[in-house]
Amino acid sequence: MSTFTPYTYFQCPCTDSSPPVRNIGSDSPTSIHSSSSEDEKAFDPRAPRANYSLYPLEHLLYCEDCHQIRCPRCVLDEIVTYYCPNCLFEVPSSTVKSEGTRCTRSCFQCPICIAPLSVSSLEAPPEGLGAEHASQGGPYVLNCPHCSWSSKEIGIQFDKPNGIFTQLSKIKNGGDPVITARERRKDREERSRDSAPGPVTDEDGVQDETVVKLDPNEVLDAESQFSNLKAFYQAQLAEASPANALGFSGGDYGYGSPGALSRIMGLYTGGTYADKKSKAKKGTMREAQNAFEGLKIVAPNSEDALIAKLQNEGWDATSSSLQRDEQSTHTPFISDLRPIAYLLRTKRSKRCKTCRHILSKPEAKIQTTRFRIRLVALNYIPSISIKPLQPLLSTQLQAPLVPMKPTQFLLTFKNPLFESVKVNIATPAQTPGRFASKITILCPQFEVGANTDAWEEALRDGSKGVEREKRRTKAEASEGQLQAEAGKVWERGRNWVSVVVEVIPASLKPSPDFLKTEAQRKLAEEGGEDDRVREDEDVVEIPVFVRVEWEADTGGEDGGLGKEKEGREKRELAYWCVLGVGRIG
Amino acid sequence: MTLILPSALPLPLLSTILDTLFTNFQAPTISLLSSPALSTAAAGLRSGLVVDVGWRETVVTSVYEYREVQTLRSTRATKLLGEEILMMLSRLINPELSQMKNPDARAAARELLSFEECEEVVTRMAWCGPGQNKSPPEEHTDGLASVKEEDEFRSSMRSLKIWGGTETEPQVSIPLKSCSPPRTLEVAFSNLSDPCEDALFAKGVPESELDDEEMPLHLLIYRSLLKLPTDVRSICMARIILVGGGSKLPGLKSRVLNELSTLVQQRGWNNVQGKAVEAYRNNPKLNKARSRNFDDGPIPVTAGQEVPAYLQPHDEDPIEEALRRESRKRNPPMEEGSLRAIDSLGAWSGGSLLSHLKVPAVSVIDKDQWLQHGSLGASRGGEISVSSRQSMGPGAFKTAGGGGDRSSWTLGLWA
Ligand SMILES: [Zn+2]
Ligand SMILES: [Zn+2]
Ligand SMILES: [Zn+2]
Ligand SMILES: [Zn+2]
Repeated sequence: MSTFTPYTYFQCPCTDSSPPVRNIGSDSPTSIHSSSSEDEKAFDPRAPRANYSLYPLEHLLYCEDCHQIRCPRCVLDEIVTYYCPNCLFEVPSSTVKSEGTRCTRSCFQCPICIAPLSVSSLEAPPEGLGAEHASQGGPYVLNCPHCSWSSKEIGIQFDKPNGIFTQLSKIKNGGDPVITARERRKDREERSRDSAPGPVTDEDGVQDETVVKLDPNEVLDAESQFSNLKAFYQAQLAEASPANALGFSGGDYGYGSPGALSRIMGLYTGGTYADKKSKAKKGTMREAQNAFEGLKIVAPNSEDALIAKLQNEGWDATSSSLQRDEQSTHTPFISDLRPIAYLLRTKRSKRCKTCRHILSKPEAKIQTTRFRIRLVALNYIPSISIKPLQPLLSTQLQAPLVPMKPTQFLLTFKNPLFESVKVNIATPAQTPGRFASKITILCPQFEVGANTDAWEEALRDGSKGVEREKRRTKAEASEGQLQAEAGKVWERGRNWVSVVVEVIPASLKPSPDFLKTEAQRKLAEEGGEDDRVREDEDVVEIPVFVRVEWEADTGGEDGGLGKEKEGREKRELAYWCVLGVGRIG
Repeated sequence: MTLILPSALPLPLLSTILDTLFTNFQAPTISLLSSPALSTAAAGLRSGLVVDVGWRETVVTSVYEYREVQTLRSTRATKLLGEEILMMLSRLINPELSQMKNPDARAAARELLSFEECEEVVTRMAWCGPGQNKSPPEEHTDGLASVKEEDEFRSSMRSLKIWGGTETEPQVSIPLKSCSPPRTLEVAFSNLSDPCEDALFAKGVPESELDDEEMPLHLLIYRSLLKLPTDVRSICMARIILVGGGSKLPGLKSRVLNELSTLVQQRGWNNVQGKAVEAYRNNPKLNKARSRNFDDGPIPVTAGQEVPAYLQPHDEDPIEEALRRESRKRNPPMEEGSLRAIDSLGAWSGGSLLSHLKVPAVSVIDKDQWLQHGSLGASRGGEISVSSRQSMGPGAFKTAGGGGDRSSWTLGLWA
């Protein structure tokens, strides 16, 4: 038997006000009538969309200006800082733009098990006197303390213990150096110089770097293909872009300007043939011709080695799909995997989408988890907790609801405000869905006291406690068990009130044919309805409409200097909740 | 913000996506780009036949000068491959399944293994054989397929026991956890390529029994090429771009090329198919070079045979010729007429590439304009005229930039 914990979810009212989906084709948006009648209907927690608007109270914020609940859908996120979750270094957003969203220091996760990797020396640790002060020399490797994977397994070692990201970006798996974009550029320049007629002019005069001769049929990896393609396109654009040829004047037509770019890259005026003509005249950009330019021809049987490896090394040599997902390129084998640089995280502030006021703002410093501003709904609207009224025996703890047997639950409303609130609750008579359980709230209207100083309660506690005790004994005496009275609050505390709700759980067995409604019978005849209980259909979920009213100060914030205490204002908040009370057994 | 979309995305869906992005993510403008065009650009090409082997379907789109010419689809894709792998594994776990009727067996198989575990086997161990006809693909002037490689290939194939090895088949073990009790299956390595034969190449099913939406990959590509105008076809066939998750299946690219060259060899680019045509073709008196009917089973290996492209002669047009000569002066000749596959970085990398180059898209949608008018505000027919200089085609990228004049805009392909 699966355990069931009662829960309460709150619906953010923003779902109602979301704009109607535009009806393509017809000129008017969806008719207003249908949407308003929708509002009057009881909220159905089983509707497919309900999942997207229900939240535990802890996840909701509250806008003090709009006096409204705010959920993740009706707030705007703003990134305050980017940081590495491993080294806790802040990364400026300009760096994020240029370097990407991963830590570029030495923070890596194990490609096998995602545990954090540590840098260690391959040298034997120094021994003897002062060993702890002696620094170990290279080479260094990345080690996984959890599954003891080491970068040695993919043939990667480092000269220095820091700046691993930069070092790693220069080594392929197996230890071969990566041809850097810089070296590729050098090679490209060299080639264009060779092909260019006339004396070679060495502008910078520096030739200390060895120029790597590249192979035009080189088998490119994804990264070098990308950089070659980019260089190729840029060269093509630059070649054709100079300020001539363009029909209009003004503006910047260096490559990068939309005018020049679109003329070259793109294309198309009319039909195919007219087009060829214009293309020939203008000299459109050509296609990449070889590996230098990013062209990668699939060599026949290029995958044979892959298949042979698959056969010889089998399942254990292949990477799992989880492992592949963490990699930026296609990595069929364990030996293709590379250490995963940590993804950066963000701290975000949240604004109300309607009035743009800040609802939540974290401290910018990464090491703290504090907030400067945090308007959580928990501090503004009453929380609701559920427990069965009959005290359960310990063996009965997760006892499911018995069909057709009235069961009573205690709903406890706790007021976080410093004013007392009037609460109205309403439910439909039956839960929506195929298995309709009957619901009765014994006390739909009550007042919950203010969240005053705890001391006050302590002082007042004496009399109240006695009263509560009295009430309970009276009830127990009357029938030997607890009995709730209609219209009366069950129990009351300083800032909380408990009321009783009675549920008659539905039977999960298909109702006999003669009891079915006309519609149900029709459905069954068409074979549209099957009698099996679908996932979670046996959970009794009660939609509850809550309306909270209270009086609040208005002058409090806007400097109520001269203004007297006249600024009392009536406030009202209404929203749907869903109470998950139990599973029908 | 740039959106990369399949070219057949319905307008209501696109509208919803745009609404969501504009209202919830506050993007000031959104550019729309079509994924086949981007896959072409990310291969360094302007034209090509983009074969997207996806989950639910394989989509073959011919792109000519960044413009989509036509699209064909087939349900033979990764999902079907997964189902075949499931059946293969289940039969090994419970041999009784082979005796059951097909729907029952499939239902029973689903109870045996979890979907996730089956997908895991697909991504890790599935592979694609080279097919029965092992005529070596055409040699290229680039010297790609050297004689040495060819030899290496043969020896590797021999080691794979694909060429009639009589020794015991190599086995691989696959650990399975979702079946009860968990066990390690010993599978003949060649078995792991069988599901691909059934799922993607419809092995053993005559072409006449296949519906249009369940064409095997090679036929789908062939048909797609066949429908193209001759000149576009000759450009596209030398630029076959396999993308999508399914294209990662080891051996698939070579197999597709092999099958295609066989088809071209047998049929040429002739629209008419049938017994009479076959008989005519196979008549040794009329034609000695052609091999047997495609469906008849193994075709004898004729090593070193050149695959002719069987292109119909172009309708010669003197102006056209002159233009072509003219353009050749400027640009190196385009590779055409041969079968060739090109690797693309894929649509997303293509989008990133274009963003790096700041190439504007045909459809750039402004937030305020969208929120005011929605899709009704777009210019009709994907045509838009900017700064009176040039009009837009429904191509992938913008034709003329025209200094930020966005008073009229278009949904391009998706309108
Ligand atoms: Zn909301
Ligand atoms: Zn870090
Ligand atoms: Zn590890
Ligand atoms: Zn607000």
